[in-house]
Amino acid sequence: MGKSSSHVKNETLNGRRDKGSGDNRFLGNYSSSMIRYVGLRLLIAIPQLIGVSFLTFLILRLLPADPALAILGPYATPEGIARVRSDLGLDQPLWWQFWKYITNAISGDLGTSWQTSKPVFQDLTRRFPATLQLIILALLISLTIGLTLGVKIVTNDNPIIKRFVSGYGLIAGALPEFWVGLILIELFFVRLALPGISPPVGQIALGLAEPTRITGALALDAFLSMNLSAFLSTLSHLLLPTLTLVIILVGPILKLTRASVEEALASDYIWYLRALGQTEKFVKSRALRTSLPSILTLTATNFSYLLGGAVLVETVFSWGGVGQYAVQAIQNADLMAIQGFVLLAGALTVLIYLALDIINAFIDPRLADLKG
Amino acid sequence: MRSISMKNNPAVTNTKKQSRRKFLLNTTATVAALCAPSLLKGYSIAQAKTSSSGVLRVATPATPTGFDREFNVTTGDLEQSSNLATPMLTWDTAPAFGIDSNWKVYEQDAKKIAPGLAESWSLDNDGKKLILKLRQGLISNHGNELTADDAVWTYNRVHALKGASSFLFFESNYGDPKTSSFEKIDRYTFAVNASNPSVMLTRSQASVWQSLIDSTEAKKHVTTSDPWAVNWLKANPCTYGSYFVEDFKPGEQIVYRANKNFFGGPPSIEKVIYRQVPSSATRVTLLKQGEVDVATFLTPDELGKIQTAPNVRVLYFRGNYLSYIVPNQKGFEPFTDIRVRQALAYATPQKEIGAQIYNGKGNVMRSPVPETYPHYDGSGFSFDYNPAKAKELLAQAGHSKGLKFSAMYTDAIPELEILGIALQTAYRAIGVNMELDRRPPAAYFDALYGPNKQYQAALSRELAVVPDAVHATYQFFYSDSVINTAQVKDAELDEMLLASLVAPENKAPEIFSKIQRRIMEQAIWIPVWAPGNQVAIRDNVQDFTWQYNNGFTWAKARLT
Repeated sequence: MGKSSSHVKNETLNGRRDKGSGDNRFLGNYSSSMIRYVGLRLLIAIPQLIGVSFLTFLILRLLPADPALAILGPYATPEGIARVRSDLGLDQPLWWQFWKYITNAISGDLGTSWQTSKPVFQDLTRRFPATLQLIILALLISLTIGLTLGVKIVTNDNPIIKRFVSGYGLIAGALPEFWVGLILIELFFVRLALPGISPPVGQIALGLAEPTRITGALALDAFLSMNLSAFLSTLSHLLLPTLTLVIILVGPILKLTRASVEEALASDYIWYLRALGQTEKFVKSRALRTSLPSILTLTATNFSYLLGGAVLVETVFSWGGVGQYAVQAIQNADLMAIQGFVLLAGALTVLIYLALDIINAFIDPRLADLKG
Repeated sequence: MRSISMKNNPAVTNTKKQSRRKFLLNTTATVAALCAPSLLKGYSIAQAKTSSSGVLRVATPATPTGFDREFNVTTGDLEQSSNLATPMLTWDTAPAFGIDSNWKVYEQDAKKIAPGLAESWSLDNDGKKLILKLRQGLISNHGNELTADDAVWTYNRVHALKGASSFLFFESNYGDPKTSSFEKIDRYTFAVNASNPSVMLTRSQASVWQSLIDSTEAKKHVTTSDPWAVNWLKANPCTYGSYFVEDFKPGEQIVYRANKNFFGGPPSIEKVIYRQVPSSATRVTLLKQGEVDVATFLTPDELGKIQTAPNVRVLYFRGNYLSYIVPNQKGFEPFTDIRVRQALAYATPQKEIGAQIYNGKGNVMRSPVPETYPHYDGSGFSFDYNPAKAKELLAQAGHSKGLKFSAMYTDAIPELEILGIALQTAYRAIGVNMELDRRPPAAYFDALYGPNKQYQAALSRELAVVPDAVHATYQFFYSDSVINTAQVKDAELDEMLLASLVAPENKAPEIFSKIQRRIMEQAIWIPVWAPGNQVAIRDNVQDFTWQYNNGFTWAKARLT
């Protein structure tokens, strides 16, 4: 019986692997499909990025704000404005400006930000790791909590817990980030003044030397360079902004996990697994695996959103990431900085969705089978 | 064989897993317990370093955008410029008006000019030539001594670039290279040859815009396409001020280090850190908790609330901000009628707005010239709140059924929204519907100061950065001025304004009184409130000075 059950399991659930192990032609087709699929997605990414750049470029030119005037301020003379416009190339035809921008961008020159007087590329690369560190940490924690609770709650019979989780799932999605951030600051930093909670300003204590720059993410750099005081300081600075994002992000992940796992658990194949006497843990893991593509899609969407969307959290905690940089650029008509940010966010979004598609194609190879 | 069977036995595997998990947990707990004291110690070191006694920490909405006065003129640039750069002349200081003298807080006093980088000055050639004798031995952050060559290079640069300082040169009659020039008389003597005499010729030298550049260093960075080192100077300060830049991370923080050779003596505070904290609520929190010593640009509401916090003071300076409505005469035809403008002025409950929005700090705006400026005259104001008279004037102007217009504002100046709502409510009482039009900062300032002026009215809180009646009136009300925001065209006023540019000192009071009365009587702007400038500061900071650029100089400040 045991042998027969194991045999059925291998054929039913790992059929792909079992089939593949016995069929080299399938493996070959599968690999070439995958390569073709990834290649095509990469090819599509190029016009996508050019399209995003072009649209951003056009929209920015329609803004009712002249960068030359923003640079020179209220006392600008007409001659001064004309000179700055000429320096920025704004007196040239639109097509020429766009061509210049794209050709420069290919060589890594995204122009100079008038707000910081530094190359936009340099600004973005310095700030991006700060944002990335924050959102990756928040997403990882949110995924861990969301997935664990989402699966557990499905089989939990306690109505109070179920109601609490449902309520939280609903409320969390509607809470404004900046409000949660301010509440957490007031509670943990001001009222409770807990040790280990840093002032809501930046990524490291004011006046403390930054660790040797390796990746640009200060906590990671402090860890890699074995700088204990900097590491602790960066961790304590990460605490509240991460918690703010986690409180917001866990809600939708939890809701989706719960709904997907519930749906999966009601499927025929789960009944079949149970009928075969599989353990509940194994059954749940199978249900979760079925739910993964939709959860991964949500995570990817959240990641792309957070690249710019974490700006309110960045502002409240003076985080100094790319989101904060972009908003200031928009407010001050810093065209080069906005274009650079959109290009970066666009490129990353394309890459994230590409990675998502590839992961999904690995989970479900039918997606990569272009002919099928 | 035996080991294989053990491995395949689920019971044994589970036991093994459990014991491994227990082992890992126990090990982690032991390591954590052993390391906790050292970790906490490390953490406390990290915290302690943030509040050393020689460091002043300021939370500000924005760090500078750069260091070139011709191109970096944002609030962040101006706020901090007075510590970095010192002009040839400066304004004398006096104990701040209305602030307890025990707190040792000062403000600039534009009635008296004092030596800056120049130790003395004199006028020649019927008041058209200003001769400035520079101090000897002043060393820049690049190690070069200040000479007249630096002054000539800096001033010629303004002529060539026509950047942000040009306005001041033009107002002071040395903006046109054809009729004015700059001259090196000897190594330490510099002269400005203006086209006409003017009260501004000397006074303009005290503006923070007139700081000098170390030309020896800057010239090393000129190129054929950039003969004035614009690209280099944006990111590299070249100055002779009380502080030098030690570290600058745009958009994050800037660290200033005391200039030990400063002509006013070495500053007692060794370092000043300006940390960018965009959220004003966060700036309040940091100040309350003692994480920073100064929080700038808080909203009136926040200032009202924080003044009761322990060890925090909210200081009020009469300052130079003015809050008013700009009725655009070309943007909305009814504004060309003086009765409509006067009706709005009478319907504005200035005192109520001052009490409710500005916590009673400040005064009714009685002139386009701030009350702290020389030649201020508030006698032209006659618009005490009188809605009945406002209605009567509207009816006379043919608008008895009311009027509708939009007023733009920006969220970059937080109190403008609440001010707009208060005015909107007040004007409804006379049948005027003022719609509020919120615009992003760049779009707002572009409309207000750009050539197109696409708005019907604008809510404004503005300042004339140079403390002089010429600057405060000519730039805003001369018909051809780029920032004639109300687009007024008044030939009589134009004549007076042109005369003011060349007015000798003895005629200035009379001319400026006339100008101010004319502007107020005509209600070219709808006056609201002069809110002054307030700063929230820890009570251990003393001996600092408020400046006309609405920044503070820390050259003589102490941390007690």
